[in-house]
Amino acid sequence: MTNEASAPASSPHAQFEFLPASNGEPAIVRAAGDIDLTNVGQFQAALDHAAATSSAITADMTAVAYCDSATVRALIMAARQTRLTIQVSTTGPISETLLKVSGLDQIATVVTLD
Amino acid sequence: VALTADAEPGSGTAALFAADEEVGRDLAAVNWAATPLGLPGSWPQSLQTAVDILLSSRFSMWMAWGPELTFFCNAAYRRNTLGRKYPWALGRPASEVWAEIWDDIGPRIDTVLATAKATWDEALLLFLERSGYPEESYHTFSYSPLRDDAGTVVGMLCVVSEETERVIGERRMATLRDLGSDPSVVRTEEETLDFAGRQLDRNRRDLPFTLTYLFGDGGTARLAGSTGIVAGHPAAPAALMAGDPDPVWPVATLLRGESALVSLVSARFAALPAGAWSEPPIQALVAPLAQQGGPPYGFVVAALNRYRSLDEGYRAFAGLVAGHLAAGIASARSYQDQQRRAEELAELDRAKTTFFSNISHEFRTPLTLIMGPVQELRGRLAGADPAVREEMEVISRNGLRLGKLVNMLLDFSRIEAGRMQASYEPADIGQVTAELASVFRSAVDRAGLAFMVDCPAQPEPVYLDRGMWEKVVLNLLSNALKFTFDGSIRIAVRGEGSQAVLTVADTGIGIPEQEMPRLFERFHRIENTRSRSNEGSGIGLALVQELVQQHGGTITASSTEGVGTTFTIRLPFGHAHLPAGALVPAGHAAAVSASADPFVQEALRWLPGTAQDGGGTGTHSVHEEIPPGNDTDSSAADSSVLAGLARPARVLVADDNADMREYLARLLRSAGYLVTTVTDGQAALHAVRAGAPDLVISDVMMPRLDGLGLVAALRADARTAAVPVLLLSARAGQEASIEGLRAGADDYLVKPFSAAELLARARASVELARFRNRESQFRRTLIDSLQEGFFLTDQEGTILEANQAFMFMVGHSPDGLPYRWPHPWIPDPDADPDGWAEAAQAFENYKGHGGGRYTIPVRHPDGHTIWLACSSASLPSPDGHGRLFVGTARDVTAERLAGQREATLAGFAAALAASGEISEMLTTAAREIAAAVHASQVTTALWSSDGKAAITGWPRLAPGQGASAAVTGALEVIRHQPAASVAVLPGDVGASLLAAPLDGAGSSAIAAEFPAGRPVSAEVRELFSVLTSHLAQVLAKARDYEQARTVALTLQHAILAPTELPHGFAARYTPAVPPLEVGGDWYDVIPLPGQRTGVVAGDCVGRGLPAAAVMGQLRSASQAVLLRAPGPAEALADLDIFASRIPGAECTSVFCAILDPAAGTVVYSCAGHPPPILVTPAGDYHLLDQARSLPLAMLPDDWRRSEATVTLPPGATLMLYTDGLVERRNQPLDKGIDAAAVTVAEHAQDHPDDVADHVMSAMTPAAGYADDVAVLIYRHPPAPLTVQVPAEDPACLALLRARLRQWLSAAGIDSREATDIMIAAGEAAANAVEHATVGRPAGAAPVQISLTARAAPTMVQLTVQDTGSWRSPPADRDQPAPGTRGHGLIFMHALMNDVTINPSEHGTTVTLTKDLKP
Repeated sequence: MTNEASAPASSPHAQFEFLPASNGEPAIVRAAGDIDLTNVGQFQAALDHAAATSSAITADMTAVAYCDSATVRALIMAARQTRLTIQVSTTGPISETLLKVSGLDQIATVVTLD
Repeated sequence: VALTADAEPGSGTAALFAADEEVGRDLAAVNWAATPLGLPGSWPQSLQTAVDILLSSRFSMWMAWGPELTFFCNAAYRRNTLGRKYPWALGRPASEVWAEIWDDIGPRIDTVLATAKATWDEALLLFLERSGYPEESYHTFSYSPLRDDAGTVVGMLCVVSEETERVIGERRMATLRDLGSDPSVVRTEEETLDFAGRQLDRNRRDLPFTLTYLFGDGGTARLAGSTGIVAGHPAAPAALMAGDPDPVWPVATLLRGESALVSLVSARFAALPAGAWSEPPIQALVAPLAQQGGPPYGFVVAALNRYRSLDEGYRAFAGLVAGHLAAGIASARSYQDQQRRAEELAELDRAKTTFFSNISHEFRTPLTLIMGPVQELRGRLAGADPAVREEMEVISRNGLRLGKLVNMLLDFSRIEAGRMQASYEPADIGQVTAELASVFRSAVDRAGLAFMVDCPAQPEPVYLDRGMWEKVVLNLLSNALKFTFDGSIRIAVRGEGSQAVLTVADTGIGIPEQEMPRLFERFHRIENTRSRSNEGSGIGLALVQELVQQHGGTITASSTEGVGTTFTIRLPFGHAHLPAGALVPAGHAAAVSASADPFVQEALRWLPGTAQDGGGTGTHSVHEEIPPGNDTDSSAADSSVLAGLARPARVLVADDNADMREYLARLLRSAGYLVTTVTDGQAALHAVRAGAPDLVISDVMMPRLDGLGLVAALRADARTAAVPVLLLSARAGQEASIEGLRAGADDYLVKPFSAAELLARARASVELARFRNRESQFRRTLIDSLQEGFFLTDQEGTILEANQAFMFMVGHSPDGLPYRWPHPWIPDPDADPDGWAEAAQAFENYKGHGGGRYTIPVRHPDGHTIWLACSSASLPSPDGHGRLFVGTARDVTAERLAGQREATLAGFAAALAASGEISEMLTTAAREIAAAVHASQVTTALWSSDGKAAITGWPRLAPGQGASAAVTGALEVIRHQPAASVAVLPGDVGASLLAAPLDGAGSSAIAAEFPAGRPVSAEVRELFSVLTSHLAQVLAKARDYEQARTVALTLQHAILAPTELPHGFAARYTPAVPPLEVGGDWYDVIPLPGQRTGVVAGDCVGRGLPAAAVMGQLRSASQAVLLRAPGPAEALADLDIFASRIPGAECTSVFCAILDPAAGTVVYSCAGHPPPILVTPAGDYHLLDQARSLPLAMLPDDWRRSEATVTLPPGATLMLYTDGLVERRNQPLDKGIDAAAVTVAEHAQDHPDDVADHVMSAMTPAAGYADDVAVLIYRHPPAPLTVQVPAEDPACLALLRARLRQWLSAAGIDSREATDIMIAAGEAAANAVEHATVGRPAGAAPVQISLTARAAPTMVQLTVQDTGSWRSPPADRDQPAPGTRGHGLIFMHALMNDVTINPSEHGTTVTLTKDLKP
């Protein structure tokens, strides 16, 4: 066994982007890269902020390479506060299986993009 | 829903030709079985569609189809062109139908058939025999190719518009225009006929030859002009005698003023010239040259174009030519008459002067002989009887008076003849005048009047001819005494600057205002005035004026009726103004000569108490004897002129001087004119614009707008430019008159002028104007008779004049002329920016290039847009300023729409040809149609066999968005209509829809939507029909093609390698010959018993379909033999046998191997195939180049195939390929293999798919692969992954993921499966982090997380282990409480096939297993 001394470059951490609501369009939280324990809090904060300022949120997850149940939990929390639409990609981590077992597909609108 | 489909559903021949009832019926009657096309029921769809389009169109079209180019045409073509050949022509070979012009059109049709490119001919001259004779006709047409269902050109479509009327009309118009273009107004008869002849000779098509005869005395006709025929030809005798019983031309008929049509088919007309044609004319129209109110001037013989019928237009043309010749002759003769009259008048004037001069002399001699003896007798009879003395006095007085009159006449004659001999001597004008005045004192005193003489001596001398001056002063004083009954007469001389001024003022009756202008006129007498005597010659004041003028002075009069009159004479001091030769030194002649006596004597006689002869009535006869002068002459002439006019001429007089105005008015009225007077130029302008008079007589100096300004304003406006203007001015001299004429005045008269002169000039001007009017009347009739639009514009684009045809086309009234740019019919820049831009561009060109040809859109007031083709040419403006443009306009809307439709259809076809599959094609079609017909939305629907409609549209429908209910309904309604139907249907909220089926089978349709307020025009509907018909054809072809392609692909895939490769494999295949997806190369992966896998790569000889056929059989065979054979060598040996029996299979190269992943070995054998490459994860590579032998079926009988075995290291990559990948011209095979091996080595740890992509792209030659290429890659499962990270490190999770991601890729795990594995592993690792951080006692050893991953060919197993303590999940797994990571375990279970959790006091181990799809 070897301990790794440094993180390989191929592990991009997530970037979060918040676009406020305008012209009747919902607020958008856009995530990209990997979301895990270390940064799911930022994602949650971005969703909370969006939910506080807008009656509807779109979470754009199409550029997310990795996420786990903590991310799904954050999305569920947001969906309880506001009208949530989640955009996912067919090859991304949030698969149909995950949506079903988490029940996320029942409380949020899911749009799958190619 | 209102359905207005064009065609009714039906079947058989009738339905095919249903688009036109009449032509359709005749087409149906053709015996088609006898033509190469066969019965209509058997016709291909493309022919049926073409025939339907042809019959539906209102544009003139014919088409030819098939090997004999069988002829079809529509109703428009029948009507316009085919004529009597209908219906004979239907179904016949085109070369037979148009045999007479086949030399012209045959090669064009051949070109279309050979090149599939359309031809275009504009106004081609063709001699059609459609009316029973070869007819000159012009056609603009295009031939475009027609294709059959297979896309082969088998026919052609001709869209034709006949331009015969236009071409011939333009030609005739040009001749008439040229005839009218004579720049000189006045010509002799000969010049006129010469000019006309040159113009007629330029049109030998309509006038092969012409002869112009003029009648002379006795009805003899003399040849005065000819064109196109030589002098001396039997048809052109120099003279036709009146009595000839059988003249060449029907002189008697012509003399009666009637036209005649003469046949030229007789011996006397042999060898006639043919004009512009190859055959001589067969008819001539002979028309009289009519003279108004008289017998014809002559006649013109116009030989007729034998290739045109003598229709109304031709007759009118010949008539206009004759009319023009007649007008020219009339003009020339009238000019000659005028010239002669003017010369006669001048001669008369000269004779009159000579007569007066002579007669005066003749009178003086007898007078002298009377007066001498009378004076003698008076002396002798001094003591005689008082009665005798009284008689003597009467004789003496009247003798004196007669002498005075004769002298005055003589003076005039001298002045007029320029023979007045004056001798100017320096004199004190005050003194001389005072002496003359004193002579009159007694007479004035006796009349009881005060006589004031104020004539002081002047400081400077005035040069006077004493005799003349005496007459001046005595005449004025005599005049004053005559008309003054009480008050005074005052004569005064004073100096005023450089002039001496003499005034003679009285307090007499004064002169009526209207008489003032004629005061100094010769022989003019003021009638009905109170005077001391009725006698008077009317020449006194005229003579005074002449004499004063001789002295270089001026005389003016001012008078107020009842108050008095003052005459003022101004003479310059000194002699600078006098001719030096007439100066003499100061003499010593008596101030008053003997000639003063008659004046005084006469005056005394008027006075009461001195009248010896009863008031002087006896002198009345003298007045009568004086010739009455010009007045009478001119009024006689005037009345004769006016009698010749149809109505009295109207004259407008403009003068600010009321006297002058009144005077002129009276003068003109007396001559029979209708006179209107105005006080200035502005008022005159208004009056002329309200109604143009025949003449304007205007003073030059006027307030507001002077005479020159008036002329300029009149000339600037086309409506008034022709009104003649006669200017009157007090300014004499050539310069002044030139200025007036330059301003545009027709004539110029200097005041003072005589009444006769004015009337003569007025008469000339009116006559000229009348003449001009006749010309313009002729012109107007001419242009109004044209069917083409005609207009006249100035440089600013203002339409000054236009004929009825033009105004009708643009839909505006001629009353609105002139129309300034932009004309009201030009499209509005806001509503129709394109149309406006087009018109504005044409206007700029027109301004820039001075006319030319252009086509502009015109917005007719009724709402539709028409297109006018205009042709204009510039000519100098008649007023000499700038240029005018004469243009013709023709409505080319139909042609333009047809042209646009052609262009649109061509663009549409090109766009469709460029699009590939059907859905793309439909989107393209929708876009193109929307643009072409300006639809807001175009929607297409394709119904599949299960009844579902695939909807596409333009603008594109958003995903999931369907068509509107109205559109869907329309598509449903129209889809079952027969092909080529078009329906107009109501859309949503006032919108309208156009819908058409795209086949006759009810499985496709198209609809175009137009916004509310945009009704669908017939043009749009027709365009839509044409485009959708074409789309239907293309769509039918595309569907056939697509179907065939699907079948082919299905078959290809069936013989190609498996589409689903087992885990760990990747393959690429590139056939050398598109669009086939198979070639001679192949690869195969065959699962074998015992977890083993057979892999094969092969290469048949050849390429393309034949090689693929062989390949398919060998591939099937190899699958079978591998399942049976114990090893690769035996399998190849079996294939050898197989290949020897399949033609073309010999010499196929094959590499065959059996993989055993569990054992990590490869057993292989090679039949002449390039060696596969084996690469380790570290990037070392070697070739599988053992066990090599010859290709299939090439092995000698006693040879055996061998085998070799090679070990597969974990994570190794094996690549099989065919030689197309590595073989390069001029390069050893080894080099290519080496390059491929290096590329694989560089990507030794990448996913097999990525390796395949890298190899294919790295090896691609610059020009692409020339041969089939097959590549098969196998990745052996890699060595297990082991990673350990400290849980406290925040980056530990990212680290784990990165390593796992890389390993999964190297193991060739598919991306969906890899993502699932990543998430499950991530959840396990996250749990481990929590174990390490939550609830750990302080000082505990740092927690380590380790991850292990193992790959087998069909499964992946991961182990996540930590050194912390396990935390149980909540009881309810489905309802995770907020704040917990309850989903983690659920996700692991959902994503993995097996999850095992092993908690212990030393930590937790999670084992995750995922089965890979086979």
